[in-house]
Amino acid sequence: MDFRAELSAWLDDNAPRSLWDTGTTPFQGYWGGAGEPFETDDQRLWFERCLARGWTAPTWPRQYGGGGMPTEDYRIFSEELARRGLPRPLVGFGLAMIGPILLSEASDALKEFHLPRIARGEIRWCQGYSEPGAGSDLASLQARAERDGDHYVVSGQKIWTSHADTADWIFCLVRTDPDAPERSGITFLLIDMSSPGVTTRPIQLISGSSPFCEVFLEDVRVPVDQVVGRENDGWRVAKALLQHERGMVGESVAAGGARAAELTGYTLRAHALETIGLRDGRLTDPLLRDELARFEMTESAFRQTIRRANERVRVGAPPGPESSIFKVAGADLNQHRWELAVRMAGLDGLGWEGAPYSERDRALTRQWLRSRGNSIEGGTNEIQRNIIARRVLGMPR
Amino acid sequence: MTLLDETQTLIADSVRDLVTQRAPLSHIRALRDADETHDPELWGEMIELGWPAVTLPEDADGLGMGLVEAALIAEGLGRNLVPAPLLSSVMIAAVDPDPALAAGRVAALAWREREDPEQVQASVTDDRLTGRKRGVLDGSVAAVFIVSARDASGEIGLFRVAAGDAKVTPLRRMDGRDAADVVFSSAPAARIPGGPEALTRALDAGRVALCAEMLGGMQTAHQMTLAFLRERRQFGVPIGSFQALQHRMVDGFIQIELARSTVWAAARDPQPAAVSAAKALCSEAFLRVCRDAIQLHGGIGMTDEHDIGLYLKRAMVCAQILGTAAWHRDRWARLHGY
Repeated sequence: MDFRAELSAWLDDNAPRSLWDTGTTPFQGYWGGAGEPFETDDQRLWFERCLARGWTAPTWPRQYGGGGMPTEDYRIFSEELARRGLPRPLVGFGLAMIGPILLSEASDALKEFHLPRIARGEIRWCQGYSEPGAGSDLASLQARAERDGDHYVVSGQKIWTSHADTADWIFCLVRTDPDAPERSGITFLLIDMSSPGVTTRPIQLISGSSPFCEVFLEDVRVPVDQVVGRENDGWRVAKALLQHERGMVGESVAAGGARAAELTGYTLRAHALETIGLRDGRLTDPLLRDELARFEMTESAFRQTIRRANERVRVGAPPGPESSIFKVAGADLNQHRWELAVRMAGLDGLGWEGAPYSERDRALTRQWLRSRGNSIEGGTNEIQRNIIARRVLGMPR
Repeated sequence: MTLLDETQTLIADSVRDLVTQRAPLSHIRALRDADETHDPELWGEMIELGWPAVTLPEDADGLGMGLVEAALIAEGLGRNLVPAPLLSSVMIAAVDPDPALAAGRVAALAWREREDPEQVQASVTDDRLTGRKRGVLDGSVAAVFIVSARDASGEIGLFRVAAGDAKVTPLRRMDGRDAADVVFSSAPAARIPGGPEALTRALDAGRVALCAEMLGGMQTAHQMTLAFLRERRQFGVPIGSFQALQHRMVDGFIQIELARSTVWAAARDPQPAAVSAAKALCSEAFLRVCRDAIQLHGGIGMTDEHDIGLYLKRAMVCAQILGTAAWHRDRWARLHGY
């Protein structure tokens, strides 16, 4: 039997029904981690059944707890999961971000230490890049790591660290050589969040509570063997990882927005029909009607563009210029979606808390406010435009 | 298009060759200066390559290909604003697969009275057609018209009328594309099969080709502007190094990529909603790219001597024909029940 048939049969028998049609993005599902309980028994069952086959990290080598799946099989694996709307058995930064970087950059000892724990869902990771004084200009980061025997002593502050308060480890950029040119004095370091001197504080956003945190590092002792790559070579490692992140964020912002909308049965069109209403088969507000059509057309074009990029991936062609637009266009689209939704809701779109606002009204307000961050997080749209201008359009410096 | 099969690659290559060798912008400009909207010699070469018959079924002497192939040709022609009645051939092949199309006879779709194709006053009684059609594409070079009109029962149908039986007034439009106002006064008319859905099919096929043409045009306008921004120096540096200008170019690039996706989606599966999305997005993207192109070229962009202005004029004409962006958004909304 070929892989697809075998896989399909296995999925039909083993994937708990309650998880079908619940998610397909790299960030929807079980995140793993020591302090992270499963949301449902079915989620646990799904995770454990996949783990037994090495399918929590399907493409990783078996020696590191993966499934050793060839690329072609992995494509089929992804398709079959997507076809059923099944979430990945395990998601998160460990699997999607630090894992791949460890595979390509880390020492064998580091791989053996970290990868199997990630694959087993034991460690939840967070990313310590941004600092209060280093946002778009990331290379100006100031967190210091000073060598002391076979340890570094790390001091500084990180910000916008998603899920730091529930993470077990953090992959961090720290300055190891303050005298070198900015980008040449940075090291990529892995830190156990339970080390003495590490504290976190969640950040309230304009939309309310958020997964973002501040991380304070005060004289934290970190073994020197937790460096990925070489000392002072962290910028290169971080760039490799950022490339990874941007593609993922762009796609998942748009896919996630659309998905979140679908899950609640809350498409903008259904929302418009409910809030504005029809007369003679037309929305009674002609301007919002026109704007809804504009939004839907752009969303459809965006999805077609993702499909176009995926076609290239499928035949093994290098990514085309179209993939560079996902982050900017995806953020714009999601912001347009929620702003239109609030405007369509009229006075009901203004709620913050309590009656008479429904839970859905309040969620709308917060989704709109939260969406303003889409063009800031993961590289601002302005930085993205700089990159596209230089790398894709070849414009001069 | 990202992935082409072998035949499609051959078509794309031969379009590029013909356009580069036989229809450089200097040639297009010369035609315009001579007040010519049509180049019979160039059209002759396209006929030999089989392009007017690209979507015509094989049993009507056509190539029997689809709108993807037609769009590839149109995109290539659009890059250099090449005047050719190809768009009309694609529209007519969808409803009246006559082998004469393959031989290069120009047939034009005379449909427009108002923006909405269903608002038709032209009528046929006893095989005689009476009515006025405005802005008929390729109207002054057409040998035959396919005309939308109401039959005795009031239903919209399509009728074939010889150009010699109509009064044709050529129009001089800003972009030099061929068009004419056409008046029919009891002109002998022969019904071709199909009702209003045939008219929609012809229009949608033409819209796909027009969108591909716009896609070609917007890419050239964008590339010309990029080249200019690299060369033009002010304050001692190339002005393309300024962030404000870079971001405008990136926004144009994003619009082009989204437009490109809609063109190929509509060409592969020309459902009315997909076609309307393509027409709306391409119309706005082409205009936007050209507006920015003129602004970023500065004073030279305002001169007739520079080619970029030709693209701006074409962009506006393309945006206004075969349904404006707003009309297509309205159609999209109707198709989706709101």
